[in-house]
Amino acid sequence: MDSTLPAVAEELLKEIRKAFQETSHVPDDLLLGDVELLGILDALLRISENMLKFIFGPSAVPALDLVDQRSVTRVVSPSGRTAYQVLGSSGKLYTCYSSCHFCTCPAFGFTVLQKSESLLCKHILAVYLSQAMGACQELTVSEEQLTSILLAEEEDEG
Amino acid sequence: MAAALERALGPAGPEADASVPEAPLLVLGPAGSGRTALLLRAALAGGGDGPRALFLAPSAPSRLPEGGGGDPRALQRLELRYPPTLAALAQELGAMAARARPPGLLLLDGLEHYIQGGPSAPARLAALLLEASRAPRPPARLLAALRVPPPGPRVLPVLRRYFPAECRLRPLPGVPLRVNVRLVLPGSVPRGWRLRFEPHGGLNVTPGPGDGDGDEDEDGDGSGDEG
Repeated sequence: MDSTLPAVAEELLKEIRKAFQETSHVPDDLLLGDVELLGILDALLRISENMLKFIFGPSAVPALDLVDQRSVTRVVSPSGRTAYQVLGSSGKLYTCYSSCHFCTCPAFGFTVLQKSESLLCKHILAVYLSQAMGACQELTVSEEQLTSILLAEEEDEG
Repeated sequence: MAAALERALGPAGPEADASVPEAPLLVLGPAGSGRTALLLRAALAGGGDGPRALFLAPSAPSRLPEGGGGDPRALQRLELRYPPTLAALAQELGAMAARARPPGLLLLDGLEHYIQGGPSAPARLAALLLEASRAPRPPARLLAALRVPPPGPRVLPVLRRYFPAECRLRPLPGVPLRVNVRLVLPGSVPRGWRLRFEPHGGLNVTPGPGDGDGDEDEDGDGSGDEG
């Protein structure tokens, strides 16, 4: 198991990104009535949610909750380095790296690294989903601050 | 980085493929097996025309190499820095992206020195290196060396998540200054070389067998070869 997503997961995220981009650009004259549109969107989301659960297991629903709560922030430094901070359900702030799978949460260290029971934790999945759905908040920091964020200590379960 | 290693060591044995895919590379070997010499040789491969190289280690090597292939210009593109702690290393890596001319080659010696903290420490260190190597545009090639046996039973499996390619150094028992090198790349036939370290600091390289000898403990972690 490596530190990047398998192809099937990449494809699913691409489809989710495409679906969100397409629905945000539907011309007004093609829009259905509100109720019909909500029904179709609800069906699409259920399909995506089931596929997410199938591929990512128990992390899927908690990750979707984090996305709904707009918990993911993309942090950028002047040189273009990035990292992600995710406000967890317990109120703790976790750091996820951009270029590979790493998260400071206890579940990543235990379930992913030690036990290899999951591909990734809910925070990393929330980052992927937030990227696909355009749901990341944005924050610009200095180079020193970004380095501090990348060195943030692993958080204990709270 | 695997291609840079092959440029440093020359063509491997007859079972080698035609091309070496680039991937972050982990160099493993016990104390005295030549990890530092191999990294420096990879840094200087290509002579004066090679990429700018940043070599990081917790302390200075006991001996610096001659210019790559006899070309003194090779040393001019090599930058050596010695961050003593993980925090200092992170600062060095962070500064890479902000440079006007970031290095094309990133080498870290002494991984075991920087693995500090909890069970996720090896993953954090590997992730920091990958972030730093991918932040400049174009990305830098990454090569890191770890002394085996590693500082903990989970270190190697975790590092292997982040380093798809691996180069194993194995000193020949009873034969001083002779080391077998085996390069393992995902989806490729293993490649091999034989190294002979000269008393005055030179290094003699010849193609060698790429296959291992079976179940020997190549990782030095006491649990047999994990692949």
